[in-house]
Amino acid sequence: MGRAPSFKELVERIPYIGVSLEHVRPKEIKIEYNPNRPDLGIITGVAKAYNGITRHETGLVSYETKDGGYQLNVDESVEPVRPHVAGAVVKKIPMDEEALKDIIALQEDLHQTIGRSRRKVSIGLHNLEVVNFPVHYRAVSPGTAGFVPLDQEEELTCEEILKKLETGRRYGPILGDKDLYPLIVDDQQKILSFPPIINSELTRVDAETVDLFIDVTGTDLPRIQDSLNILVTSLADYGAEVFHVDVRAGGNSLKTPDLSTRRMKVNAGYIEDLLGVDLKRQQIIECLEASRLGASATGGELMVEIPPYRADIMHPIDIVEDVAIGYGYWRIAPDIPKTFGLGKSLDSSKLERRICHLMEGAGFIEVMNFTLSSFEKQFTKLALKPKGYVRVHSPKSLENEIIRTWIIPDLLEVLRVSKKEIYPQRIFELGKTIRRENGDVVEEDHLALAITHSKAGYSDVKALLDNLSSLFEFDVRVMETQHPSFIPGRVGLLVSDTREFGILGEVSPAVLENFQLDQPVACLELSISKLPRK
Amino acid sequence: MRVTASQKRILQVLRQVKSADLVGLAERAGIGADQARRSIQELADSDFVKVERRVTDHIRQGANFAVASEKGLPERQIVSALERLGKQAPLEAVRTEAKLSDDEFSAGLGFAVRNNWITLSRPQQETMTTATDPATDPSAEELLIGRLAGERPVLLDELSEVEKEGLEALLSRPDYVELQRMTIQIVTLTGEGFRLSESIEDVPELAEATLLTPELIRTGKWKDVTFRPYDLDAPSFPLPVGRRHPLRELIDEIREIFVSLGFAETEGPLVELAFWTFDALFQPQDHPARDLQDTFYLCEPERRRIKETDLVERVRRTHENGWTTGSSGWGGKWSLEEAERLVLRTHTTVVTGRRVYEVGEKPHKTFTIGRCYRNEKLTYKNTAEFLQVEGIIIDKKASLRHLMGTIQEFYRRLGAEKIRFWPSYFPYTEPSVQTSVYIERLGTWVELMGMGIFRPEVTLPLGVRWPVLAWGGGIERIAMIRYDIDDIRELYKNDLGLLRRRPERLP
Repeated sequence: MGRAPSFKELVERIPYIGVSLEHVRPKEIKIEYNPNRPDLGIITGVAKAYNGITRHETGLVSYETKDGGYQLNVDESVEPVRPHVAGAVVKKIPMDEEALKDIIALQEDLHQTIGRSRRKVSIGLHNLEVVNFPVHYRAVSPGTAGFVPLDQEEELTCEEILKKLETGRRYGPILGDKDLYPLIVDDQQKILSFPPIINSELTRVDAETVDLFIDVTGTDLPRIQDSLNILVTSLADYGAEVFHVDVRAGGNSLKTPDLSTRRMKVNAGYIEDLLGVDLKRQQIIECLEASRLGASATGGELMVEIPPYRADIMHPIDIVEDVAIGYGYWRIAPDIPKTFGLGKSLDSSKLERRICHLMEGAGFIEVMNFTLSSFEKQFTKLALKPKGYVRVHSPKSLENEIIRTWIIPDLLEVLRVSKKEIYPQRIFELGKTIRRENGDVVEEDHLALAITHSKAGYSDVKALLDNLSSLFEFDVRVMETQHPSFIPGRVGLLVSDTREFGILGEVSPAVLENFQLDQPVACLELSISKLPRK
Repeated sequence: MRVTASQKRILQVLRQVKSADLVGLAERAGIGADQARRSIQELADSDFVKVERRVTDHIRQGANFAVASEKGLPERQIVSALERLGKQAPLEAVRTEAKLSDDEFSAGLGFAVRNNWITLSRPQQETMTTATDPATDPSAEELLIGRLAGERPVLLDELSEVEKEGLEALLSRPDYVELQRMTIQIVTLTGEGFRLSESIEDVPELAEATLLTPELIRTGKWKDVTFRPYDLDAPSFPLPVGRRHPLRELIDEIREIFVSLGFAETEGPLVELAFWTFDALFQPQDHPARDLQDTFYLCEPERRRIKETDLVERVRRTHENGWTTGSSGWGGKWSLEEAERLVLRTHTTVVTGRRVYEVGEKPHKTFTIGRCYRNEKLTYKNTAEFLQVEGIIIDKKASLRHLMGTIQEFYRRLGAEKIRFWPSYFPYTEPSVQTSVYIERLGTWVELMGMGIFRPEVTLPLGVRWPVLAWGGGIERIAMIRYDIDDIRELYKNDLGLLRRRPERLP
């Protein structure tokens, strides 16, 4: 930073560059940066931004590359495998353990964010000393080439790496069932890297390594260049020198990295309107410079210069945010909007609220369960065959394999965990259920209730049903039915003229046993969405 | 002047005895001690009686008392045995018949002779006994034992002369009775009380009732009744009250805040198209949040056709090259198939996004509250489903300051005054803002709602050029602060005990 801000000032101000404080300990602040700004994933990037918003050092930082005659030849065999590559040489890095840790952390963050877990972009860092230029990017058959991978002692073929090494198993699927694997080799045919899996032990980078060769491969050239730019500008901020590499593919030549600035036009009025803050042109320029951009004004138009590490800027709206950050979010005064609106809650919310009040008045405790459930909870324990459910892909927990089709099973579970509580127990839940019907999904709001005590029975819930039907004015008939979860002859479907919309009855002792319940339980569940209201 | 039936009886007794200890008085009046205590207290309050405390001796039963009371003292048992043997019998025969120990027999024999119940004679070789006639007059000791047989402790003062003689005699014999000090309450009639007692038969009687029955009310008999007072501070039985769930209470409160700020509530389905969940919100198709790892995709039905074909085309172009939004877009090829997949919605922004499309360029304020999902394991801070509140303002003149002002007002109404805004990132808003509020009670800042202005890449394809202010946040997080919970699972534990006894918390 070139200066030492007080710890208090840092804690207070650092979020305003656009990061969150994860924790603050004596002498240590841990921040979390957002995935759109991997350039803030390294201490030099944070310092650059912080000096900007505190106005200690503002404006564009310019970067340049030198020519060292480095060349990278791309063989056309990579085209169907991992078509794009860029490279750079960075020298005189003031390397130590701390810097090495930061650089590797940034490399990993770039893999995760822009690189989409190395699928789009992966980066190899090599000790320049052992690399013989020109280097070559080519694809070979899986079994042919062998080298000693990083942190290993013996030579393995690419095929073996994918099978034997953890990193191989993890990132191997990116290559899919390709019959060629990409390799970076130097001019003496030494393998430097097997992207996007692993580097060779030969080019290992450690705290003594001050000169690097960097390769970046992937499927998306702009993202490859963004990643390389963020990495080398961070190293340049450390004080290192950047040399470009001439990437030759077919007859084409591309010098990477390209550290020139981009330009974007933004209207000053657009900025003022969106922020709701009156700003003079010069003020906007100062704000942009505080965000480490360059800017000049011609009338109402601003020409903004964007440094190569700002991959996130894709629209003038992104410039608006940079003005706000440069201005300082803490200085923006909240204001109540004048927008007129008629406040109104949904009819369904009103109905729910009324039902809630009625149930509350009848002495029922409301419970609220998750709507995700399992076959076991929804069907097996209720002596039912699974049917009409909606299942989700690859749940991390088996508790979450389906969405509940009815609520009563959840109520029985609540009674199970509340067995030590005083009886009688009366509970209800108002919530969502989802069923599959005629090839599509049907979402419904349900009311379910359960009553349990030593003499609980059908008449308890029937009384409630009659009460609900008279107060909420819907027609209902109870039709005899067979249902494995209930005692035969004590379970009925709720029907109106046109359709069935619920069930009530006494839970069968076999089901009660499944829930380890030893008091009778009477239940009712009805679809509010289907209530045949008069 | 009206008195209760108990008071009437107490006054009747006192008219005869003038003064008595409270327990004895109750017994003679034939009423329970507790009731007597209350009745006497009322009489004392009206100065009809006065109550004094006094320390006195009372007579307690000893270990041998019970046998003596049941079977009689040894001398009585000897006389009884003799009577059974025909009033005259050899001494040894009487000894056998009486079945007493040697000590008891010889002591009893002495007392029986002293009482003139029997005589001893030796007409020939054997000692003979002859019962005097009548031998049944009770001795002073027996009179005392009879007196003590009741449950009530008998006071020294209450004894007659002959009973006192009996006490004297028994105290000298092993373990029949003993004396103990105690404090008693002596109730004495005052002059006024005496006057009242003289005419007590004419004083109307006030009946005492436990329950006010419909019968008493209907017949008007309640006028002749006094109600037995209760122990007002006695512990009660737990009441099975009905209550709403804490999350419901908070949802209702939040809904009320937004309605009162002029927002109309809206809703949308839980099962949504990836298109509305992600694509329409300019979330790139390779965004990590769209992985199976993070989002619940439906197995069946897996896809649904998107009806809004024109919109689909605009969204596709915006993703691929920015369309006419002025954006560079994400590049690459946008897949319709990916957008047609069905998911459990990951945020309520999908509801407000649809709303922007429906409403178009009209001033509009709307909010939604609903359940969202993400593929997580249940831990103390993460759940696979959660409740969100989300709102938008569509207005030609909407600005970042208005966004901050709206959220500030929302927080204020929830009870938080100190608020902080700082720059953040969401894929569909720019500028983006994160907020935290200072919780006085905890002495810390807590991150709550995220917000921003919808990106032009979101609004322009939806047909809106105006700024759209948007914000959203988790309701459980607010609930955890409100109810002092540090484990999110508590909110979905549904332990009836916790729900029944949870304290009411105001903002």
